Amino acid sequence: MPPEAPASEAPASEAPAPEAPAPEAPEPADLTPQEAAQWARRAGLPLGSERLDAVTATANHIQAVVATLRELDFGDVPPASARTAELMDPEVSDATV
Amino acid sequence: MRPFELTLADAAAAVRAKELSPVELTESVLGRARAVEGRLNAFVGLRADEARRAAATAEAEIAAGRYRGPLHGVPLGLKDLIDVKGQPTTASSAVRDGHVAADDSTVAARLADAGAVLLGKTHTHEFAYGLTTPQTRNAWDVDRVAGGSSGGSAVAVASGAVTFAIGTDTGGSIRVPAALNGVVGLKPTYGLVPRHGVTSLSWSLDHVGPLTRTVDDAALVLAALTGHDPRDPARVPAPRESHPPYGEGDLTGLRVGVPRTYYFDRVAPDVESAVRAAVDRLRDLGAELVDVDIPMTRYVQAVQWGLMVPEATAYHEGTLRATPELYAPDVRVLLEAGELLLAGDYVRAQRARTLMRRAWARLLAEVDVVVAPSVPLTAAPVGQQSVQWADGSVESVSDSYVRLSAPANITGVPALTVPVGQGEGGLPVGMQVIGRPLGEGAVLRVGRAYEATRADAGRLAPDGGAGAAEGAVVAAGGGARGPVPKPAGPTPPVTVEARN
Repeated sequence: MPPEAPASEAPASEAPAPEAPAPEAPEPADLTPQEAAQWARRAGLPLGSERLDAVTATANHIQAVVATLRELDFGDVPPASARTAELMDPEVSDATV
Repeated sequence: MRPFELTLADAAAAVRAKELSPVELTESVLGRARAVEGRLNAFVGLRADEARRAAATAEAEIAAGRYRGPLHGVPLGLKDLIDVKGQPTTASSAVRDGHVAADDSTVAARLADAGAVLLGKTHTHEFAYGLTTPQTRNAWDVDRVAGGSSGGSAVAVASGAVTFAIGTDTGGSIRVPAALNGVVGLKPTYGLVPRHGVTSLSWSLDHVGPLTRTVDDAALVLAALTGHDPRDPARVPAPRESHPPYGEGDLTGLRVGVPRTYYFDRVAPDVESAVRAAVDRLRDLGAELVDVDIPMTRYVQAVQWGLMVPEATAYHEGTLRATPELYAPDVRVLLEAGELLLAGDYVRAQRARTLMRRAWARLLAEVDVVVAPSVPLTAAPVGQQSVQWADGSVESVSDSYVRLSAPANITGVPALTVPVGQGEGGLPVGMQVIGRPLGEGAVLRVGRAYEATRADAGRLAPDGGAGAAEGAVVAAGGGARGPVPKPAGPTPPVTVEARN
């Protein structure tokens, strides 16, 4: 079964715009199938030519979704740890969202 | 009432009172499983002989006065990602051909210690990387999807083919199929139920939990599963809230957050109507309803994908290179594409998760629980690829199923789905109750209080999926009230569906 459905074309539920957005940066560019093949080889996963179109399209779609996170100014915020309870303390100061 | 129709709590009471033997119960449930399996295909395999032996052992122990507790002699199904010593863990995948588990997972060992009777392993969407479980059919209507990825577990419970089941949830995989099949599903706090011996989809998002007919049943199973296991890096201390501070059936003093944003956006009218009616019932039980705004909703999908995609690809690194042709096409392409995601994107998702957890902590400091739809639409017809919402947006069925579940996976908070009636076509609707970390007591308390108001609590699916659900005729104009089904067909290459 091929990747089956378009993701929403509408924006996700609106969140307040970042109060201090990250500095303007160019949007990440889509990979071409040739670039995807090269990146995959670099990752040690040779892709046959028959795989390239589908993998490239899927990778670009995933990238388009996760690129939303570039809007956030993280300040000194660290990555989450494995422990949920530690990170659910409401007293912990926040970065700009 | 036939034994397979009993809820776990009722079966346990009958077994304890020696009014029902584990052997009788197991035979009845086995018979039911065999009767519906041809239509529903919930099981990877039934292990009747082993189940009968376990039931006979339980019967002998109970007769000798060695009653172990409410799971003793009660038949269950395990999602086939969960290791049982000496049995294959197929993950519903050809990749696992020949696999035999060397040891019990922690949950399998704990269920065995509790005296539960393993009837068989249940189907999952391959390696839990999907929301439909295509091998399995919905217990209410075989022309509808089971939901996933714990589809086999949900369908087996809903049809009476097991008395309870265990599933995993990385982006809704317990709650989605539970809601679509009209049963209860609990995703506990991250780390509360040990994951040792459970095949991972995404380490930082994976949870293990029960699927049951009632909230009481879920509480009974949860109690058998929790407890410190040093082999799970996400382990947490014992629940702080083992005794909920609210009186039985009375929610006075409870602050229930009702989302103004996100959870009721792009939700089918029949689902919204059923959930809002259930929320009103919570108010009638004494709860104080508080409007709340859900934080950082714009980033939910990005965080979910930014964590899950690279973690899933990392888990499959070896087999993706050795035997890629053995994966189903939909899973293979996602695993391959995950190789092309940048490390920076993963770290950014983890940092955004930190912000999201903090924001949810502030929200949950103001209310005891948040209630919301579990999924935005009822079970989709098999083969339907996407839905068009009233605002004109188009969303894949899988994306829509994961949308309302993902926040609790990202933040790790407990989330329960409880049936709140039926929508269009007589298909089940679920309400989600989301609580504070280790706040399972409050979540279960709300679910139990609501459930006590329903005459149909704990019901089985009509006819075990023998035909369409009651009144399940979709009116030609149904799309005007709900999301418009988009026909299945060739899809543009620049697409992907959210998984798990």
